[in-house]
Amino acid sequence: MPKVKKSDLLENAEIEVAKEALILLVAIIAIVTVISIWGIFNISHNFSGSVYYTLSSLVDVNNEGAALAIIGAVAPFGSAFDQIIGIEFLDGIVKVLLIGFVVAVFMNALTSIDINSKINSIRSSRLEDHVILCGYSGLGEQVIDELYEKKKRFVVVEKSQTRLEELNESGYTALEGDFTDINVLKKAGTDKASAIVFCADSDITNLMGILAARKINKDITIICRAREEFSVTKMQRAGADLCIIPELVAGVELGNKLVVI
Amino acid sequence: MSRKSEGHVIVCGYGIVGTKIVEQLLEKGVSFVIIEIDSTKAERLRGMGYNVVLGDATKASVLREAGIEGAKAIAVVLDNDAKNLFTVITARDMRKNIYIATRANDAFVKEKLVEAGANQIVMPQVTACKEILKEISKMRS
Repeated sequence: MPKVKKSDLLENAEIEVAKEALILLVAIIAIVTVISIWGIFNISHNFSGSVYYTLSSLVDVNNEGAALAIIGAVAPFGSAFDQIIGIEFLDGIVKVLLIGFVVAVFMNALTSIDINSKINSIRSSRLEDHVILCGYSGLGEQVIDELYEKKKRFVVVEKSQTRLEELNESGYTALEGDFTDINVLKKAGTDKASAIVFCADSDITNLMGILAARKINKDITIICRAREEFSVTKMQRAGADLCIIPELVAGVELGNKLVVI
Repeated sequence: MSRKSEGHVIVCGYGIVGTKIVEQLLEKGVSFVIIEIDSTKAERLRGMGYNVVLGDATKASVLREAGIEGAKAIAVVLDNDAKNLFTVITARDMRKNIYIATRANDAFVKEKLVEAGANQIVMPQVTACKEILKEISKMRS
């Protein structure tokens, strides 16, 4: 469960930042308000009037209203252009900050939604006649590159968060989850897929995946990578159509050449 | 006995790849010497009647003992890329005209192995990937 803790910590940190920003905003508004009231009071010598006009210009988003309010406060007491400009300026700062704060909060809420996983699950649910690749290991990476080059549709099922991020950055459709779980395989569209490739490092994990995939889809082509030769018969019994031991294939390739030299 | 043999193949490392190579050499009746670092494995192989040199294939003395002077080819299939590279360099230094076949896990190492003088380099993952893609396309058509 360390992952959950990490995200909790992150959220806490974000809340802390938001709190600090809010305090800062309130403080700036308070300071600007006080200065503004003081400024108008200096010209008009009318305290309740200056409070009224300052607050009305603060709350008023429409600039015209703010200008009118200030002119209304100042005009009867003779024009003091410098002061008006100062107040208008301070008022502008508050509005820019306020709008900035709202936008920042909104953006933060938007980015905290995990858009990637949503897009990916929608994408994978639409796929048909595709290839499912389980386990983004070295071999998996190779297979993905080839599939991409041949313009075949595929979806990757991967447990590791960091590898998922890599896949998302490359623009591949990737689902988070354990491929030995039938529900995860169903989400990847195993019932509609034409082939599924298991590339995990562990033979036992791959074997569990084969069993789950065969249970969902009787006709799907199941290809599996194996480490040990004795795993192959077990995998075939579980429903694999093709089992590959990369080292063994490499040995055959080398041997073929060595015997004719 | 191994020192006297001529025109044989040296297989460095009796792992999965090495096993498969030996299988094929036996089938075609090509003579070979195995270099294996694990003594129990070496003993077992000797029991099966193979020519085995016990030792580290990265060392020139071990390669010499396996008869590299008279060998026609050497398959360097140890369990890690760095050891393979080292062995390829050593073998190429000792013999200019021997056929060196080896494996690489990393594309980056493959380049280095070419520079070191390997004649044939197989990447298990690439080969396996080709097989997988073949199966997928077969099913499509």
